[in-house]
Amino acid sequence: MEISLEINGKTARAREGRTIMEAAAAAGVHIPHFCWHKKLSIAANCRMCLVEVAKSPKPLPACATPVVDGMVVRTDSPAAKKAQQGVMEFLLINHPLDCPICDQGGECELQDLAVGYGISRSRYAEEKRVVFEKQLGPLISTDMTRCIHCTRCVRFGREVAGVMELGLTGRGEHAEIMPFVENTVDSELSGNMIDVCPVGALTSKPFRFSARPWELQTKPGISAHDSWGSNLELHCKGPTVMRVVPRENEEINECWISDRDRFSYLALDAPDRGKSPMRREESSHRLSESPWATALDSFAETIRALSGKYGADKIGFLASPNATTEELFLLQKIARGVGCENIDHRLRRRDFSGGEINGYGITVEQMRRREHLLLVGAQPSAELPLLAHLLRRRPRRLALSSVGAAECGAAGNHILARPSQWSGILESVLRAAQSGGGEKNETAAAAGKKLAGKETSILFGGGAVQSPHYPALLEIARAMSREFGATLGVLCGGANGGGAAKTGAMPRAGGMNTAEMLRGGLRAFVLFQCEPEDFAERALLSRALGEAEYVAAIGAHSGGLRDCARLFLPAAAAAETEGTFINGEGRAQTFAAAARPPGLAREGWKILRVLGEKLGLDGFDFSTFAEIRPQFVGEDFYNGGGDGAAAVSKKKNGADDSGGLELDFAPANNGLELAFAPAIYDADMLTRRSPALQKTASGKNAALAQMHPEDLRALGAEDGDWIRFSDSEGGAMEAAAKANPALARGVLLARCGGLFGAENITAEKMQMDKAASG
Amino acid sequence: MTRDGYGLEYRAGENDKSETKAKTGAMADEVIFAPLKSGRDLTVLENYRQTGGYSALEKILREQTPPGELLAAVKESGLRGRGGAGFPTGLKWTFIPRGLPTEVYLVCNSDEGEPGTFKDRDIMRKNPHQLIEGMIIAAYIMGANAGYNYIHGEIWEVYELMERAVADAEAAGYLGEDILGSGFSFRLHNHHGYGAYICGEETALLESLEGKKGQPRFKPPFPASYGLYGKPTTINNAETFACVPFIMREGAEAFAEMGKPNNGGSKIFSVSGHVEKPGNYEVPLGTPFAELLQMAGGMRNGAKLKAVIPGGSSVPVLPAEVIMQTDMDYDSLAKAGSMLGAGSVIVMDESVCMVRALMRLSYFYYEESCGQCTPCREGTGWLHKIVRRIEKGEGREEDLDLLVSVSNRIDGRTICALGAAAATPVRSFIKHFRGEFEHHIRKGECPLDKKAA
Repeated sequence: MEISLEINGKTARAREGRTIMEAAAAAGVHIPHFCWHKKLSIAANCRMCLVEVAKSPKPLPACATPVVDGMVVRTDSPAAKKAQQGVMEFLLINHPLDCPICDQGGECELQDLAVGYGISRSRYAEEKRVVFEKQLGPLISTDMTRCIHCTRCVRFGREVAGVMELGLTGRGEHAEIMPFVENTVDSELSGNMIDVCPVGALTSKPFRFSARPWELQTKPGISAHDSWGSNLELHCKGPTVMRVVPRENEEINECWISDRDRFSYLALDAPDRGKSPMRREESSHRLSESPWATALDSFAETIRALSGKYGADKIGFLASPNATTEELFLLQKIARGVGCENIDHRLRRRDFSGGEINGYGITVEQMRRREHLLLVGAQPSAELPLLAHLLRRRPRRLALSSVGAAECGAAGNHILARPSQWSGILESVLRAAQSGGGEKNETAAAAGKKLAGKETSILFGGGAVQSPHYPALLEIARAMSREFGATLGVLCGGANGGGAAKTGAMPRAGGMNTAEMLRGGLRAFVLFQCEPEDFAERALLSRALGEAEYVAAIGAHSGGLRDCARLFLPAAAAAETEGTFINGEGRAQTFAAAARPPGLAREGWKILRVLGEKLGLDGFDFSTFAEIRPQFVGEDFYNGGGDGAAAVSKKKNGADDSGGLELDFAPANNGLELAFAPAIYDADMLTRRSPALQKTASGKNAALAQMHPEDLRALGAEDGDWIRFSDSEGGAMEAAAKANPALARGVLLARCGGLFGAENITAEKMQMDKAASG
Repeated sequence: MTRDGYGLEYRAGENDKSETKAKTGAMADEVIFAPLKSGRDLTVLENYRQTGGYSALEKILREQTPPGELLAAVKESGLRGRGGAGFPTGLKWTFIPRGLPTEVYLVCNSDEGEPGTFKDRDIMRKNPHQLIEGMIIAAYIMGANAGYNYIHGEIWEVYELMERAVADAEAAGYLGEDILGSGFSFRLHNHHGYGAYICGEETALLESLEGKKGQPRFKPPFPASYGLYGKPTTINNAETFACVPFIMREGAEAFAEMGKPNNGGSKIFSVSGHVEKPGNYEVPLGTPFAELLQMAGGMRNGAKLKAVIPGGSSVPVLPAEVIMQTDMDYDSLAKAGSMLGAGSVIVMDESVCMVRALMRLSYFYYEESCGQCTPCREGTGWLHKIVRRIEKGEGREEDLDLLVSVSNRIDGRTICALGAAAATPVRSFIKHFRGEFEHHIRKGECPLDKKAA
């Protein structure tokens, strides 16, 4: 119901239940505040928003006072001003008045409001409070003496990040914001605390003291790490990205971004950043700098020569799903131009037989309003931190079911199991939906009931897509879709998750997909913005690259390919090029370059354009970015990303006909299974090279082999012990162990390093020399 | 007669009140301490029963008296909250929504932590079952099936005593499921606090009960709609609950007539400071202060009265000439420029340095501020630092105006009343004893020190 009230003499209308703060904002009246934040719960503790309300003897906090019909509010009366000025004086008495040496200076809410509500001289002549700094990890710097105790960071942790990593301890003047004991702040959204902090108490550790806000130019950007499509603001000083902050978009990322989006810019000047084309002569073992013209000519010549010698089908083109739509489009055009169908962007897949799903199948907004989400093999906090946020504060009507190798981090019906068990569980869910219950596994039965009765979306995470069982999972999901109208989607598509497939960067009939290329004895590879760590079967890729005659890499960083590439062409990273990302919901977002590529590096689309021209292919005689899009826009890019209604094969009978599902939680006799959950900061070439991200707890954990504590105990090992893993195909790797109780039994969560297989992995504790280990 | 300053050894029945009464003509110990006149140990349930205890409850449950009727009696009695605010209890109880399909909680605030207060402790220690009976009747009126008694942190032995009393009441069938076969169930839990003053603030108390840090919530919503665990909750002071059995047994009129209009009943005054017999005195509201002082044995060593804080350290101090003309009830004290508060009468004789006294009080509020909202967190420290400076002889001319200004900027702008509680003594001490403060500032020394020398 709408009510009417008076704010500063003007009539305003507001919905009942709204606060004075919201009503005033809607009426264009700004009320000063610190603790209030539109996305956080109301604390009413800073008292800056005190306003005069007729008939109230005391000024009332606008942020916490609900409007009532006929209310008369004055935000600028002498009484209101007096209250606000009084609060400002209190805020400043213990706050250092040294804005010139504070990193927040120039973008500080306290500084701004002090101009309007403070007085020019302090009446406070006593000693000021000093609060020790806190060590919160590699991302957030503290200057706790500047803290005004608004508790936005505390509420952010509890309400948005999902973990209360900071709290207000102590009382009165001794109250301090601090982490529990000596913990660091480790959530994957922690960087937002820097934004919500209204003063200089929490600042960005990597950015600190490197620039003043008025020196920075703000450029819009789009996240290059996951398929959520978060909107970014890149703050640049000259040609350099100095920091990244969220750009508000209520439909996608609200006002948050993940730490990955915020701190990956640090990889833009990583030591292995390509600044010049490099070639390796036949006789040499080292890449050496080469002029662009020579490098481009040599590429065209070699490709022509090799296709002449072995046939164009002995060349493979592999591209990152984080490449822009334009880049992928041009790359496939080149591949097909030279007569090669071997092109793929699906680097983290093992089995391609089940067909394709792209994107979420629904929009983010629909996801928020869905009744039931069924996640398969997904780890939202690592794959899509903002999806994890959405699930945490999901509306009451949204039920959540999930099947995965690790806890998915949000309450709901969750079944923890090894990847090889997932299809059995999904069958059980489907059967329960068909028969209305009767499954032995109660969680599966409950999920089935929801599938049958509620508007359901099935979403596959990276764990499912990378699994050798993905085709089986897809088949069951399609049956669910057919019978119960569930939509299908994948979460893990990369920054261009909704667009990569549509650019044609996938093999058509006769072409090889990634798995086939790795096993196909190809003589040449062209890698675009990717390195071995981006592949599900990285050991196999390394072998294939080693055996190939020619490897050309086009990318921002040379590191992962330095040893095998014959040609390296330095390309711009996402922040340095114009391009289009189509996110998981099918939303195309075009962005301009925020920064300049370093040295001689050039935008990917420009490199590909010249390569196409050098190869004498048609359609490469354009000169501007704007001319690329018309070539593919006919392909229906701007509609939803999913093709969940794709052809469905006949559902095969479950192996277990007894109608029940018994989960075997003991370690499988046939060894461990890889859990495939991608480590959050091992996602792509940029995150891997951001020093700050790598120093976080999650960054450090990525190098460890994580297993269920019981499995680890069975090996006679404990945290920190080195384990040797080997598979039946001759692959092996060694890693330090870490117990992770959130994992299913029989599962290994690790960078798969030297392993070829995904199952039947045997583990053995390594006997370390005492002297060596000590 | 012992005199330990806090009435620890006070025994109502043996506290030659008859003599006092004869001298002053005042009634004493009529409501909560009345059963003590029997000379029995009332912590024993049977003894309490023999003085008429639990008879009101038994009658109500036997006759299934409609709660509305009982509520009307509470309203009629004129009972006002004894914890400090003096809000009409009957009216407060009508705020609890009836007939909702939700849990309703009853909470007893026994977390008295303000300087000068020590009455709830004596109620629980000497007559615990009257409090329990009062809570059960209140729960019956409001349809609550669970109640909590939040006991202050420093009085562990009282907590243990209450635990025994609750266990005895349960064993006797007065607490628990289906009480006395009436179909009404009520469980009472004692909760031992940790001694933070702020947890006596009702919403901070709820937070603390829920296992969180004791910080007041902003209101609205009030506890009656969103209280303990988000459910409708009534919170009353221990003394308030302990009055209820009397009202039910003797009638609302008997209670109301005991005091003055709008100031019904008797009130326990905790008299401390420079009197001969500090302790708890239960007298009808409206008793002149002079009589109360006489009951407490008069001024210690015949010293001259200087000032009195009549309701606990958060109410304005009154100089001798004002308080001696004032009756001890809500309205009279308000008229005199102070408040009845929790009835904690702090008596100060001429030897007291008002600057030092204020320094001690301002330190208390500085230490006990929860730190949640700005004016109180920053302001209480500022006030204390200035007063401390004046006391040390380092005061400045402008300090007194600054103190008043800072106090005004705290008062009324905080989430809870602690801010006002910290500001009030500062303003009232300066108002009534400005000369003494000015002497400290100008001469850099205490006039009393000089006298002593």
